[in-house]
Amino acid sequence: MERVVVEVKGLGKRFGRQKALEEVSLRVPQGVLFGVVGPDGAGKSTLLKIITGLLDFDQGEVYLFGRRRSSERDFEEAKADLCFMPQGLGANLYQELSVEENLHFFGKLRLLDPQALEQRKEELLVLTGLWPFRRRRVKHLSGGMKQKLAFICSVLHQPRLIVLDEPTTGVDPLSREEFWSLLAGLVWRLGVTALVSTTYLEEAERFEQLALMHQGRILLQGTPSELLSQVKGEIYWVQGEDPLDLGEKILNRGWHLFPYAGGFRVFVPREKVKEARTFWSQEALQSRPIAPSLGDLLLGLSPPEPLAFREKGARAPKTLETVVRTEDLTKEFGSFRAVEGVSLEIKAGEIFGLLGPNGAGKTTLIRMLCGLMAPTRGRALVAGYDSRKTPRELRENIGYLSQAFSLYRDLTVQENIRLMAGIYGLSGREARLRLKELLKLTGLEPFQNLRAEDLPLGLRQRLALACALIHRPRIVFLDEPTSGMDILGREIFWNLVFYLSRAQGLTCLVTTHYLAEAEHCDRLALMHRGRIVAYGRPEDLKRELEREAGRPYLISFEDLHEARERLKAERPVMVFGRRLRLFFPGKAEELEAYLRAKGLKALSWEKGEITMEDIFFWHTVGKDET
Amino acid sequence: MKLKRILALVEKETLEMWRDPLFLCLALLVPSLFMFLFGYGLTLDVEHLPFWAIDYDQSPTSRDFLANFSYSRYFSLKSRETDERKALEALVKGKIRLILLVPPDFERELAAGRSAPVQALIDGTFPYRAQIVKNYVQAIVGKLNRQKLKDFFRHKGLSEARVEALSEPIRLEVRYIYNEEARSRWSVASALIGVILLMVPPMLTSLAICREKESGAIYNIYVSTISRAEFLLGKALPYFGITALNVLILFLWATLVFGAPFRGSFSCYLFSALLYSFCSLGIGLWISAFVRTQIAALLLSLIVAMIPAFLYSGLLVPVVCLDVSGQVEAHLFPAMYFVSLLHGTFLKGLGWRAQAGNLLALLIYTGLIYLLAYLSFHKRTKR
Amino acid sequence: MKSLRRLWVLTVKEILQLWRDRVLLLASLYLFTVDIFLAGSGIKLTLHQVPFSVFDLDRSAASRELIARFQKPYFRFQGYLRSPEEAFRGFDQGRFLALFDFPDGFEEDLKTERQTRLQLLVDTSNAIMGNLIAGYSALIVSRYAQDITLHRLGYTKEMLRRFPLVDLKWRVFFNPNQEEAWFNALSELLTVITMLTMLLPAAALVREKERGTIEQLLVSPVSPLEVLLSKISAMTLVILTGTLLAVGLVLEGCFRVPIRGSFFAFLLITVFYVFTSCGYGLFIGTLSRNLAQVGLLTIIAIAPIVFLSGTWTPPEAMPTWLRSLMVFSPLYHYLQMSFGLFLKGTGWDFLAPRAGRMLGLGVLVLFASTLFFRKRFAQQG
Repeated sequence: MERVVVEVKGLGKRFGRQKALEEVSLRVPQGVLFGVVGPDGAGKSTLLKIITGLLDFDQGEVYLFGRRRSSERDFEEAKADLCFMPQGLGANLYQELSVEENLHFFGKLRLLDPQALEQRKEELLVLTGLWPFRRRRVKHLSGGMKQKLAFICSVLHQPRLIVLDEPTTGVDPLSREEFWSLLAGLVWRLGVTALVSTTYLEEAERFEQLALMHQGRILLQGTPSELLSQVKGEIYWVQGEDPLDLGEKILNRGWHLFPYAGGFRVFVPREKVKEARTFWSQEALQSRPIAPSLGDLLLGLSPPEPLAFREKGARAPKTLETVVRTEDLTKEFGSFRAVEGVSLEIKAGEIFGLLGPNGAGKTTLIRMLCGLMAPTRGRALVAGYDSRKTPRELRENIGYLSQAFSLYRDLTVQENIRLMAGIYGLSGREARLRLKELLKLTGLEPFQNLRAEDLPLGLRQRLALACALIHRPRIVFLDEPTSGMDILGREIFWNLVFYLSRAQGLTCLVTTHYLAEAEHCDRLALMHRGRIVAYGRPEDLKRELEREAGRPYLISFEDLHEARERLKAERPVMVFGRRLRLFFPGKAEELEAYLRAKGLKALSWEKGEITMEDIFFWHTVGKDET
Repeated sequence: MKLKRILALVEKETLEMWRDPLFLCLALLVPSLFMFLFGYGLTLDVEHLPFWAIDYDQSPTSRDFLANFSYSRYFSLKSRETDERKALEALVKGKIRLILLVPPDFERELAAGRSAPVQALIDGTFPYRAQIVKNYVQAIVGKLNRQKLKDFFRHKGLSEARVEALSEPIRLEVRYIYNEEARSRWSVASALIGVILLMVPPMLTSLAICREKESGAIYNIYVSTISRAEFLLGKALPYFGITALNVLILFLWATLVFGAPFRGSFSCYLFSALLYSFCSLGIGLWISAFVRTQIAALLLSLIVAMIPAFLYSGLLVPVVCLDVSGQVEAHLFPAMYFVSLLHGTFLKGLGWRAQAGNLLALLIYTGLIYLLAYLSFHKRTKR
Repeated sequence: MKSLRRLWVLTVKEILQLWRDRVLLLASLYLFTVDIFLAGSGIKLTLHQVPFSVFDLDRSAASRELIARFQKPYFRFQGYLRSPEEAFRGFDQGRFLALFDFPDGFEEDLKTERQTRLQLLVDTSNAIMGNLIAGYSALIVSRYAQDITLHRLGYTKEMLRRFPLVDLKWRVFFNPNQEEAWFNALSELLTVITMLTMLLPAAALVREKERGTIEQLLVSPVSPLEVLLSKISAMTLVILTGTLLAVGLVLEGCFRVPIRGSFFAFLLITVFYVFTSCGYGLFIGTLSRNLAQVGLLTIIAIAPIVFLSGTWTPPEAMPTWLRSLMVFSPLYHYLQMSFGLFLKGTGWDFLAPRAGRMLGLGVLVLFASTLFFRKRFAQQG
């Protein structure tokens, strides 16, 4: 019989008038890597805090380790067997203490005896590769290291239940990957239970079981494949002669779409599949079905917001003008090279993606392009201006949307836009006209008198975009514009960017943490350690990878741990729930032979799609190793 | 209660404090800074008051008269130019605080056995200072007049005893006790220890907790098995160490820099000061149960401490001189008991027994504060 | 032209933000009204209800008459003591602050024209109060003695002129009735202005840093100086409003503080002061990374500024070396000018050099802030 570690029934929680959780029920069996997935504000943190006894609740029942818990004291008794890692990179660490000192504190707080503490400390530090940094202060560690340290500090006392609140937010894909294998290893080896929340829907397949949360409710619960089978529609990739026209027509039918790999990725509700096929044959140049993802689950549940492409018939003239040109752009901080010899060209009207792990130099590069920072060497021409020679003219021709929401929360939508109009010196009449135009474009008209702080994240970012566009810049820099947004918010945002680029000829430079979003870009550059390691159209990069490394396979084994250990030495292996993901250049039969040669037997296997994540790893980890 | 957990917390807290320069500065320098500023700032011993003497008489008598002022340590002569307009201008500009105007015929009138007027023009902007100036001038003139009266009676041929009795029938002998020269520096410096120990320690503890609430590190505490009492003690103890250091530093300030005498029992001072510091830290712990941000902690601990510390502690005005409502308020805060303990040990030379009442009040107060802090602090929050 | 428009919209933004921050608004309102009222009507540094006791070996009509002259509200008679031990216990416990010790034969001496002694013991553990008690007691006793002498010689009070005495005539300028509220309320107003002008702009600047809005401004054509100036101009408006409120409601409405100089000139130097003091605040703002640091640094900075201004302490009571530092406290100049304008009616010949020095300080710190501001942001990686 399956033992249940956490069970929640009919849980409800309000903050003032706002409902944070409603009728939430959940079962987490023992020894399972359980995910709580959903966008920002879905109620994930609240749920996890209630389960760990950090937050009071209004309604429902909570069972922990088989006992019902309601009072503060009930939860106190369970605390010896659980841990909780709060949101925010290394938020629970003491920044001024060294790695070792942090571990000592956690150990002593949990009353570990000194010998056991020393032993586990060493073991975990070696395992995570933090051993050489053990005397370094936490504030001097990189984001990924902080996160690993925060994790091992939390699990130092070997809890039976590990609760982690968004451990991968703000961590680059590379560190994310390391983290997942660390966590999976621990869960398998010790048979403990882990309850982990994340906003990255693409991470859902890492869990054995998961719950999908949205607006304080749990929509679905089950294994990833069970959930995927619930997608209420099919996904197509289509390409048209006039993309704006095609997009307009699709949106008019009420189907969701994203710009994707030179065309659109369209969600077609199941009952409309036939209609869609005929529609493609009439209107599209090319079309093919593609595999659904968990994000599509949410799309199927909500009708699209009627924000379509606005001005009919507006098309940007086709030009081949270069908007950004950099030559050997380099930035040094002391002896550290943050950006090294970057030479790029971005054409007018292009959506250009900039990808890379934390510390790869993306932000530094953008800051140099915006004129916020002077390069050590090299040259950057943005919209025809050199940031060093004519900083003010440069600033008048660029828009910038920074990582964190950087508008005035206490001002209304209208006031924010007006402020920006004034700052860029627009005359009164001009400002009024532009305000109207932008409100219409971003669909913010109904919200114009609301304060920015009262808007949901998606609307806020649209407001930020409107503000960045006030002075009709030639190019906008979007630094992680969609992080934390839910899938619908992202869809609208990307469609907006797409429209601006195609209809108004706006050039966009986007950085993102969601690797899946890289597919929305026309071209992209992958940065690693300050250099550009890959550069081109997403589909070309995929093709290149397939040529070099083959296709990915998802394989399940009897002993996953053992299999991983044997395969790891030769090629990168990723842990996906109870399966391993492995690249293999060759046919399925050859793969079987290869595994047999290694003394392994696959229980089952499945061919996977090449994702941007794969490209990312190939060019970062893969290149590092060879 | 597990001592090991408390010690772990103390160790971590101490290390953190040690490595945070701003916080360490707050903990170690600010008390001294306050002592320095308020010690010099609240001392209202007015000396070397600049004054202007206008002598229209220019006689030996008038010069003698004015010399009484210019040789006094309370006054310092800025000018003796006989120009009223200029002198008034200087008074307006705040360059001088007093004009003494001796009219012509000053000597003649006195010699003729009649009274002679002298005008004293005072800057009344700051009433307290004007009051002091008045007192000083009055004291000097009073002494002078007694002498003149004696000379007058003597001149009339009265017996020496009658001269004395008529010119000064009652000789008031004022004896200052506890602070023989009535130096306000002595009384202010000793009382300030109490004021500062109420202002700074609550900031330390409330900031230390709110800092963790802001960063998220507080969850380590919430989710661990440490009990509420252990946590509160573990947070209070490192700052207790710092505050104990300050108890000594402030003692040195008061005695060495401001020269206040210490006459009572040192053990009694040390015990009461440590008890009071502990109590004060507890107030910070209590505050941090209600606020979430560092800035709120800072403001709240300032507001909670500032008013009772300055107005109702006996620093400026003795509690017995307050209205009934003021006295009630004073008894609600710990500062009053400790300031009277401070004056007792420093100036009055008292020991344990004479101050038992105040000590008991502090003890009860401390217990109450920690009880409140314990009851208000929760490891499971509402929000 | 564009620069002016930018300054204008940024100022409007600051004011809107402040207006929306209800907590801050209420706190400011409280400071400008209730706080100043409390400071004006609060504790008095003059004698009030001083408890005293008497150790009377004479128990005569004369001693009783003298005791009766120590009256409320200045003194409060706590009764007779029986033994010297009781006296010392009473002092130790602080039950009374003064003790009159009448010798045996006090009345007899007075009657027989012999000089008599009266001992007064004063508790000076609070020296300020002790000094006042001694001074005031001496005055009461000497009046009583004078009355006795006159009586003995058969003179009336008017005949005092027949003695060769120095007749002291007082004239107290600027505040003849010695209203403590005038000084206290006015200096509290100036202190409140100082506090707000240092804390608010610093907090506003740090909030922009914390929320990342400063980046948005820096990629726009706005210059650092414009950002800082807009905060100052918004603050100026807020402070002027608050000052008008405080002067109208509290200073005039409750305490009738005279305005002998030009009120317009007061407003003008207030504008200058806000500029200077905001400069100090913004400097703190550029140095700190979060609100907590702003709070700490403000506490550390504001204490010497207020202290060196002479609000609490007359400069005469300060050591000379400290007095020479006073010119660095902008509040010192502002205080002198404000008291000059309110109570003394001074003109521009007095104001101009002081206003100049104050503005000089402001320009200096603002220059330093702009410099730091640029440096801080250029370094960020």
